[in-house]
Amino acid sequence: MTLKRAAALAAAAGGLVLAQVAGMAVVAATGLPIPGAVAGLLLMLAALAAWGRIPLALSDLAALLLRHLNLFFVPAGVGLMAHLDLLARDGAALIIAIGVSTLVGMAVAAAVFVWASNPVSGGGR
Amino acid sequence: MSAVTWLLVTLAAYMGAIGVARRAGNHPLANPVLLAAVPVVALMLATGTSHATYAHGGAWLLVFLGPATVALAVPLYRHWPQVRAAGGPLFLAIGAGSLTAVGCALALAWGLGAAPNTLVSLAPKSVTTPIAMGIAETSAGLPSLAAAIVIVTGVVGAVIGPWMLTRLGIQDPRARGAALGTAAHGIGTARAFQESAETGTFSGAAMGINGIVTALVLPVLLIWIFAVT
Repeated sequence: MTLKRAAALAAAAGGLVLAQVAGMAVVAATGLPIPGAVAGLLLMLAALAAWGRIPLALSDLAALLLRHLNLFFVPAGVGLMAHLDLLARDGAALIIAIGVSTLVGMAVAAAVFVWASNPVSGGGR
Repeated sequence: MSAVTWLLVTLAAYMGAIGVARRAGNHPLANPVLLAAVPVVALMLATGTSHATYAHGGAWLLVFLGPATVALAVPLYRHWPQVRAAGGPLFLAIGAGSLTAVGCALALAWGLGAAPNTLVSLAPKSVTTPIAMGIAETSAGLPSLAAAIVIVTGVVGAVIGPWMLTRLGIQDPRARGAALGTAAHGIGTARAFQESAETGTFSGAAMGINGIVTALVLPVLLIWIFAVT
């Protein structure tokens, strides 16, 4: 990896963090109840639209982060263990409620998308 | 063991998990979050380590969730014409899927006799972990329980969801992405990116929009529900 490439990647990482911090600042200043990271996502989208193209280093870094998105959820997965007592107390009710509702919600979302985006058989739009 | 050691243990477990997942042809059942958590928990039990100790190391990885969420802007910008063209169906799908999931979860848990504070934690289950933690905190739920619920949601959605969608005849990568992102947040989105870049993009967009909509609507909805009951 060349020095120039390392600098570009560092700048891209800085850009992502800056967008997140800016998003959190906007949320704190306006009192909007939306998550700071999601506000950061919108700011980054606006910045890319203004820039007109995706810098190569940012594209590579985003691909790396999103390819390993699962990694960042592993500590929370381990954290399940700390709450096994609560889960065991309300356990059966919770697991059934979570599992069933997730799958029902997913099926409804997919069905509505297909229905709404197919004007021939769905009659949506 | 120190926090840094547990961070390294988590990284090693994750690398082992993606190795196993790759060998299994990235089958949905070989979910990396699940595969990686098992050896870490086993080692914690073997060494008598508390979750509080582990969390000091694990917290280093949670820091990346924010920038990773911001990084979703890149595929979203790249596929913007497709996402924009499907804007109407996307919003309808997110609204319908999100309301169905929250309503269904609350009704089932209440019907099966869960405690009221568990119900408050259950409500924001469809959004990504830090987002759900924030919502549960302002609504006086138990943040850590909310996090646990979010993980179960994501893993169930990412493991069973793709199989269910195929069985239902949903082939359109946009529809699959919208459904995975709406119902199973970041873990569903990680799975969606394994299917294709387009599926992942729609999943990320659905997750973000759902996060915004849930944060705006949920507090009002909860006040209304608990005032009625």
